[in-house]
Amino acid sequence: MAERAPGARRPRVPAIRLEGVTKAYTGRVEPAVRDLSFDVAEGETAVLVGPSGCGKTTTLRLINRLITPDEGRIVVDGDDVSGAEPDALRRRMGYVIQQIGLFPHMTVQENVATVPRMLGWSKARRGERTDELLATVGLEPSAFRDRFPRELSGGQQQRVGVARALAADPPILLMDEPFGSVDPVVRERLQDELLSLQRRLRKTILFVTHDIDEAVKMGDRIAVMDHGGRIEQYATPAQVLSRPASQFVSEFVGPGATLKALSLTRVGDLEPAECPVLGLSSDPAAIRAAIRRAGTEDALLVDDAGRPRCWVTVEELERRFDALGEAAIAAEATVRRSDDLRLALERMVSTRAGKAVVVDDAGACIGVVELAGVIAAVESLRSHASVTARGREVRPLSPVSD
Amino acid sequence: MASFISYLERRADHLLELALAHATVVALALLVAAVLGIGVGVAVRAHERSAEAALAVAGTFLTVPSYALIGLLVPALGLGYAPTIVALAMYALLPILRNTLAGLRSVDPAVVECARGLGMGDRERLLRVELPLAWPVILAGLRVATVLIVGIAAIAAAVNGPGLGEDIFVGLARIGSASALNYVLGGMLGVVVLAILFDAAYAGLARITTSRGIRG
Amino acid sequence: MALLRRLALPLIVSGVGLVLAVWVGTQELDSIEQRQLNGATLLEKIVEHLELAAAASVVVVVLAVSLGIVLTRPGTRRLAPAVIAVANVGQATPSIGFLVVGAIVAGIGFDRVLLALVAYSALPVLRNTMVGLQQVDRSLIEAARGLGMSPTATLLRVELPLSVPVILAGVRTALVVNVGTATLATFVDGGGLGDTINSGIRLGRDTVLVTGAVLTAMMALLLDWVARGAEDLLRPRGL
Repeated sequence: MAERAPGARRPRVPAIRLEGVTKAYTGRVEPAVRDLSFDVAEGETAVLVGPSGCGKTTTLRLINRLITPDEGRIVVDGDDVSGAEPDALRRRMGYVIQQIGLFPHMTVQENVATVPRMLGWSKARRGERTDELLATVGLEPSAFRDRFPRELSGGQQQRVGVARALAADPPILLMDEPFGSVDPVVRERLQDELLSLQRRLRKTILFVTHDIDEAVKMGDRIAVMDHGGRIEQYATPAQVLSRPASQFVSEFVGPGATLKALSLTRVGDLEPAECPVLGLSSDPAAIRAAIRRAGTEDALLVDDAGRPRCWVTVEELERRFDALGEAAIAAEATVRRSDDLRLALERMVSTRAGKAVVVDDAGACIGVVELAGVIAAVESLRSHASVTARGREVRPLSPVSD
Repeated sequence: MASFISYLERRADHLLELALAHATVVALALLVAAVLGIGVGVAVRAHERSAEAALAVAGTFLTVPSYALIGLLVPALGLGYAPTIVALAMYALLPILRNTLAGLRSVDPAVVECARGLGMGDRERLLRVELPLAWPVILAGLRVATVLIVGIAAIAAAVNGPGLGEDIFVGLARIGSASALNYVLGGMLGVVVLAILFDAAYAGLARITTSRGIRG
Repeated sequence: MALLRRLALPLIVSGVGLVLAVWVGTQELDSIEQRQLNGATLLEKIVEHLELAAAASVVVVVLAVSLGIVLTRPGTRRLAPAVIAVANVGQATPSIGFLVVGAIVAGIGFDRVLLALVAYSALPVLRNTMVGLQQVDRSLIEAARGLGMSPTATLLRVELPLSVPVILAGVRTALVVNVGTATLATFVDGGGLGDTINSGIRLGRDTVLVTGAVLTAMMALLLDWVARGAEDLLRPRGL
């Protein structure tokens, strides 16, 4: 992708496009996938999510031609894949599967260098690339290069699986429940790492999962699939959560959709709350005046470095104006601008003040957020979901039209 | 082809007699091997090293060529039935022992623990819980052993032993005459049919003797 | 300790050989026994036996492994169960029968005996090759194909290396079977240590019989031991 000259770029051609694709397996009456159409834009992560047996995996295998469609067209980077040589096609697409599929008789280095070796890279270049990739996926090259898969934990194995898929820098990644076989803690970490990797690499990713939370977390766009590969809704995570297109989608998303949606918004996106902020040694009269001016119930006191210390109300100021430190509620609930609203809400409800202080990296106060702000954000998410979310325009579901 | 069939008709009585003797030798050898194999398996099941040693010894028997093994027994046991049965039993030992150990080890430790918790003694637990649960695997070992020694038993004729090998050696002695091939093929066919019959008998035995609770 | 265990078999076999030599040496040998039990004759028999078993094993590995590969490719895979069933029945057929039929149909001599040995011992290698290739985890083949490996590359770099342990076990079985069947070559004038055993039985000379039988057993055990070592060496690391 980085190598492609700007002039050669074909704007508005999606990286992956399926048009009316149908695939039936022999011996089954119902096709696994019927008349399926959707686009994945370049550099975007699209997630296929749905119950098991809905045709998600079939869809991936159709795209890299491990199976061929009965009907319809699949276009990758503007080329119809039915005309492509399958092995060459697959080398342009990284493929990660739930079973990981590391070759047990090859070292980590040999596994990662599988595709570069087939592409005829020199040994030195393969070694360099392997080390670079291992570092990228968070494995110390010198410690892991020569190990065999069975000497790795499940999480480490899947990191190697991802490194192997990225080896020849393919523009597209197909990932079939890549984190399905690791425990929840490791899964969370691998998800975060893939997200930060993706922020740097901007690959086109098609990600398959049955877990709606994972879909919401990983996807720029989510396709909720029902049996037979029917796409019930193809939209941003915010839209899927706040405006499910059908009964099926809302049942699949399940209860708590609003709470899930909270993870889509960052503290930095919130409307900051009105709140006077003063130094710890401020004169009580000045504090009172500031509170009155702002029309709030309390004020936040910060230390010399701007770090939040406590909340004080007008009543407290009157009762014990000489012992501010003891009377006040400690301002312990802090969040950063990059935290999501789920975390912010958690912090808010765990303190008596009912609000959280936004701090910078040094811990200095840069604002205050409160419950009302979170509620407002959820409201606006709901009403704006049909127009924009994460700053991307929304295209019609299907049929696909240019 | 036609001549072979008419040969079989003419020779049927004799072939049946040979087959019966063949089956008897195999059955006797199996009996010996089963008692030894299952017995040793039960005895060494809890001792990793003894089990390994027992398997190594049984494996060694199986590696020794049949003619050499039978030959070695001739000075001590003479010709005929005795060396044949002992040699066949030695060959049958490994599959039976191996499967007995595998079967006993495949019994869920929780089940054994439960049996102990219910107050079953070692003996009772073995007879009422462990062996019945391991039985399908042990039976599979017996089956493998049988197919193995039905074929090997044909060598017995080389030391004047009984069985279908006799006709193979008759054929050998008549090389050059037109009937040689008939004799050999008749003997081989008899062995194969016997192996198939034994196998079918095992399938039936497995059905009858395996608890319905663990039948696949 | 591990080394001692490794070397246990050759040590025991050498011990048995020594005992045999001492025992034969202390016997009063008559002229018949002397003709059989001298270094040159025994060496000749041993060489004949080894040649027969080794040649048959090499031919079998080449033939049966290739056939096993061919029979597990997508187009032919449906035949596999039938072939395995035939291989299993074949195992029940007496090897002496193969030799005699071979002698009747093709005549006697080294190559004819070789033919019978190959026909008989091909079955375990063929079966193990097929079983070995079939037991390779489908998801690994899926991963290999998904990465863009061609069917040939997948076979050579993934399927075969992963089936090596099972295939080698089959080869070792074939070797043991061949040593055993070569003992019977004496009945169709194929030579080998079977000659010595056979003379001992026919002539009623237990010294000759025991020497032939013990040498045969020693050879079989040593070859099996060597094959076991080769198996350990050739097994891909990481498995």
